[in-house]
Amino acid sequence: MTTTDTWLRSSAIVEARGLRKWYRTGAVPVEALRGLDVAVQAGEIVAIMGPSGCGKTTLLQCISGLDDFDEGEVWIDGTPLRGMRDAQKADLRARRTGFVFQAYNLLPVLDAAENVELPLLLAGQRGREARAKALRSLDAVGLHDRARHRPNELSGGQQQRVAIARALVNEPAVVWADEPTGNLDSDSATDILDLIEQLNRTNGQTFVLVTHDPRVAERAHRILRMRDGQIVSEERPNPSPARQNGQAQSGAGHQLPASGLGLQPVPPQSRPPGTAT
Amino acid sequence: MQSILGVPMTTIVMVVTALFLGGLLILLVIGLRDRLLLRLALRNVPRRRAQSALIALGLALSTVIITTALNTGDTISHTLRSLVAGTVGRADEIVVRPRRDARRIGFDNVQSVANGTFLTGTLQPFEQSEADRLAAALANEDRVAGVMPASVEQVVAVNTSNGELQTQLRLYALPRQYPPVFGSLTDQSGKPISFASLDQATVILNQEATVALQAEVGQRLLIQVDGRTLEVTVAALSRSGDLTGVQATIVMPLDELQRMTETPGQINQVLIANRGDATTSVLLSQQVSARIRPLLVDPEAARNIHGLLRSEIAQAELTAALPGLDDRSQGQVQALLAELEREQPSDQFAAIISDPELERRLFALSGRLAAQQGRAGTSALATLSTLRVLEVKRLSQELADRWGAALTTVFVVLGLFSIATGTMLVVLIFVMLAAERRTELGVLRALGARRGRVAATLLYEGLVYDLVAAAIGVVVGIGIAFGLIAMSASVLAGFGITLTPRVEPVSLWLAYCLGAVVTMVSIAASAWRASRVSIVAAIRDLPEPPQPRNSRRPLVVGGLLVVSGLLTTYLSAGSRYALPSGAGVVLTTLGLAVVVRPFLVRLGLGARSADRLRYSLAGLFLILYWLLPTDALTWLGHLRPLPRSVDLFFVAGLTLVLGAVLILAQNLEIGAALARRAGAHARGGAIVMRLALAFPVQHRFRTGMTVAMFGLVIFSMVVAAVLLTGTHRAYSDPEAMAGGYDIRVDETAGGAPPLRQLLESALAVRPDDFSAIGVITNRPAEAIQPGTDVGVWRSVSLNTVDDEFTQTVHSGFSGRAVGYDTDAAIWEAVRTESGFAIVAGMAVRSRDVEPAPISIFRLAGAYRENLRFAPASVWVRDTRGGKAVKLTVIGVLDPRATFGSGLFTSPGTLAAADLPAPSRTASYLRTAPGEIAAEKTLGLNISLAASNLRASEIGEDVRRILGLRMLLNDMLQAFIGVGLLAGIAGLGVISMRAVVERSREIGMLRALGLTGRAVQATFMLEATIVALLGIGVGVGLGIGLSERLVQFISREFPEIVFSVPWGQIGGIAMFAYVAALLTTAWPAWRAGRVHPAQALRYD
Repeated sequence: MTTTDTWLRSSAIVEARGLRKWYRTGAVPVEALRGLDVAVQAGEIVAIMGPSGCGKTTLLQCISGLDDFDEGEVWIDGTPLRGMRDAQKADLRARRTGFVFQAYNLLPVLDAAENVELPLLLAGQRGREARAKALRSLDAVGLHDRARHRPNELSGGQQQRVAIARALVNEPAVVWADEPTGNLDSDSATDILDLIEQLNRTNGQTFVLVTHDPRVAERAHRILRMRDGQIVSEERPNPSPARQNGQAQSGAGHQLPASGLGLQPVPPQSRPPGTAT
Repeated sequence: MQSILGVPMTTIVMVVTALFLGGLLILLVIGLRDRLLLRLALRNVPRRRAQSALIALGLALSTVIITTALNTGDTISHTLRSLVAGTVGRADEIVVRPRRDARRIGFDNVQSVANGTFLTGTLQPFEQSEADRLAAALANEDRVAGVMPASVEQVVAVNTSNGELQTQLRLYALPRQYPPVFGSLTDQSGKPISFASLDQATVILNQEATVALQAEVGQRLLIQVDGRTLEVTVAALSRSGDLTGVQATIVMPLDELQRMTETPGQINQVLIANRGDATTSVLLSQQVSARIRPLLVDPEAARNIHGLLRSEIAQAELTAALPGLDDRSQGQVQALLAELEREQPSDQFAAIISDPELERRLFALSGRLAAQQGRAGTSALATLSTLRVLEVKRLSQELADRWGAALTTVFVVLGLFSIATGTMLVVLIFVMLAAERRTELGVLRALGARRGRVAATLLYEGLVYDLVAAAIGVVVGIGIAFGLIAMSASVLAGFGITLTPRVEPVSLWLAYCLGAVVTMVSIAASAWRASRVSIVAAIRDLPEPPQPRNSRRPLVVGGLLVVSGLLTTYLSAGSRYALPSGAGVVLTTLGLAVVVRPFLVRLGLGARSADRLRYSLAGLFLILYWLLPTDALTWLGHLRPLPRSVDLFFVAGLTLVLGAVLILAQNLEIGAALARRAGAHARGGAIVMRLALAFPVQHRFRTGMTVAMFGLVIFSMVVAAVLLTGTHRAYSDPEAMAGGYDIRVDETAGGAPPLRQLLESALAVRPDDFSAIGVITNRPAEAIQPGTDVGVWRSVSLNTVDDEFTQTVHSGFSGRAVGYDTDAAIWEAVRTESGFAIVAGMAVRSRDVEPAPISIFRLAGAYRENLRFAPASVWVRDTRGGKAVKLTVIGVLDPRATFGSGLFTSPGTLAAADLPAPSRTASYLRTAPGEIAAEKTLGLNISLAASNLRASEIGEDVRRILGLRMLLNDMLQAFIGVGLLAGIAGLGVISMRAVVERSREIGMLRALGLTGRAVQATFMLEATIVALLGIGVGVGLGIGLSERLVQFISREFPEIVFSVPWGQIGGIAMFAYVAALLTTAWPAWRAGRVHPAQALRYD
């Protein structure tokens, strides 16, 4: 075991080893993930890119605990997902992670504040505290004055901001975002990316984004490129001036060592569960 | 109503209320602690108002069925109770001297209540001094409010002013100074009528009698009573209620009746009224009758029986019988055993042994003991008292409640089909609702909601619909119940019964709670299913992924199903109910189908092929299980419950439809491929056919549920139609029922001269108006059949048939003794040779029915299903003992024949026996060609009333019974048909949902050039496919099971034969199909009008 391995294990917020996933909907099973390894460090913005059908959304769903995988192991904040009961996974999602979807997926019968406080209530917080936090979270995404509006009374960009507020309200260790700008126009997309970047800088929150959009990728600390269920390359985009300024404050991205690609081939059995922290 | 399916109403109400309120409370507490989910659920309700309304209506179905069943039962109970109150008035008990041969059963009782003969027609007169003695003995009895001697007669009266003749009037003769507790007489304006000061030969008519006779004060009436014609004047017209009740009644002073009929000091009833009002007095009835019984017992007979029962054998038998008795009888027998410790019989002993319930049980025992000891025990019991106290109000109210409960039970069992269909509709609606909200549910799960909370959200939403739907259901149910009552009003009016619609608040509450609970359970099941959504598939709107290959779930779930199924089947062995064993077989079969999945997959079968194979085989087994004849697979026959209880109809129906739907749903693709191939060359139709098949094939669950809903209701209607047609045809044959006779003449009192002799001098009829007159006499007797395991004398109705009867009767035999090949040969042998007899069909049991330990004679050695049997020897004698006569039974009379029960032989055969004179004579008359039976019946009644004879038209009776059967048929079909609404609503829900779900698809097809009409045709064809599949399943399986049921029933009732009423079934199928198309028409029309651009923008 190298020094780098030890460092990675101690700092990775999400880690997957030997991840395999088959889809068996048709007559012939399709291998969507082909034994890939991945690690995401705390405070990182990681973008997963690749052509349609390469397995990027499947990867996001498997490492976020939304979907089951056939082989390998995933740790979130040191907690292994394999063998976890459904209710435990639900609790993990409610307390430790946040989700942003391409179609926003706000509940139409709830207003913005109610949508945002939903994860807090699901995590067992009291109503008054949850409401206060929800309003603060909406304030953070610039929508305090839209708290009583229902989704159909908001624009696409505003809905996605509410979705981000909802994803961040329980102060999760990691936020998963599947095509967060896919349904937005250019200006709204830029606003959302600025917001993500700002939250990453100020709160040090980890973002894992699946995207086709090069503008999204530009804002990431790392870009993982996928093809046929495997990660084929990893890139570090040139930091924009804005990011260069921001990094000085957050210190998250630049903590990665030069060799820390997050793709270290560590044998799965060599790692005892729950030892990441 | 006091009970349903034998369970006390109070228990049902308490349990259901506890379930409803308990469930509601738990949900409310959870909801208040998790307000966001509650809010989420409540806000979903008004999202789509039209859909919400449809959901509420769909969910209301179970409550509709339950309300209808309960209300119908309540109405029958209430009507009969009202009739009883109208007949018995304020009397709680009556003391009478019954005729020994008089025995009424079943509908006779109800009809006698309805026509006012409940208290008359079976009574003999006795001394008024008995009433005085009773009144004196009860003078200090706190529980008795009044004792009154009376004569109550059923009379024929003619209004001489207008010729109006009425045959169903009651003559009520009371003391001039009767106890006021029995009610007063007031005129129409409410002023009291002075009954005490009525003049000689004057009477008072109540409102019903006034209307019936079109009478006015001062008019003269001729009343035929006890063989005399009384000429009286109407002195006053009284209001109904109070003293006379609602029966058409003529009231006159008792002394006047006794004077005019020259029967001084004779009465036929003592009426006793208890303390309390009209509803509470009946509660004292058992105590008061126990107080009266010892006053009526003959002390000598009581001493005889006391001595007889004090023997060790008797006490041992009584003690041994204890465990098998109900609580009340156990208490009585224990009290009796305590009384037998005394040296001499006490009043308490007399009260116990003269209790009618216990007396019946003691009859067989005392007869057996008397035979062993050479004493006359049977006759001692028979002569225990000549006067009997009848708890007339309590017993008639119980009878009324039993009828109400029986009808409710039939409706509830048949309603189970509709409730099952309604439950499926609820599941279907909520599965669709969940499908619509699938993405939202997925997001909730992604945000960290556990499955339970997701299910709770749907459950809360369902609860809102449920509470509203149950209220709608109650209202609609009342409407349907009243509709059914209105349907039956005209037919029942022929029996003198006027139905009074009744709504009992407790029944409404029960219906509301039960409907809500049934619906809530269905919603909970659907919510649980919906909560198992795959998060990823839900969010991305993808199909649910298949089960993993290595999943252990099938083994666990299937294993549990198999074990519980086998356990249920094992535990239910020997039960008379089919439900548990039927359910056990279904659970085991489904469990096996689930368990084999991993093994089939391991054998190399694809998941889809494995599913198709295992579920198709399971479905096939379930169908064969119920439909294969017993002889085809003996082991299967042993496993299958016999159709001895009504619940089999339900469990078999559900199983069969489940089997058929499993096969259909798993093989839809194959069927669709064949249909597509068949329609491939149809010009323009191929694409419509392809599209119409695509959705049902893709959504197998929905298609299967809708087919099952249709299938189940059609199935139940078809089975009901076939069975009712079979019984209808069997029992609507006047030749078989009445032997080809048209009129029956009965004695209203003993001692009437021979009918032929009377006809010679009759005014309104002549002897040659009739082509045949057969006479049957009847007397009570005892019979014993040597060589059988019942070695005691048992009571039997012993009839003689005269020569003309045996020569002219058209009725046949269901069983003939060896050596007698034709019906005529049997009748001839009875007529011409001494010692031969025939037995009534009801006196022969079926081979499958265990002989009941009853004291009434049943012939052993011949069974209903046997057409041939060896001649059987039976000895008969008088009930008091004496010389016995041997009879050789050579025929079993057609069970439909209505000539009476017991044994029939020639008068000559009995001549040698020391038998008393017949106690009853009935003559059967066939009118000569060209004569009209109704006219001759009237003529006979006018001519014979003075001779204590009354004529009734047999054809009229048959027509009435036929009418009643038709009514029952129509009512049951209408009731079952309510369930059809669920099937139709289900199709409507699917169609509406399909339009929403496939909006983009429709837009795309329209953009590609498909016309609006073609879209509409696609929807209509889709509905046609689903509806026809359901109708086909229902009709096919219904006819299949009916054939099996009729095959079984005909072993006991050979007159019932299998016959399919194709016209009726065609009508049902056509109605269901047209209704299904109409329900789909609107969604289809909407689909056809979808604008392509708008639809593609949708979402």
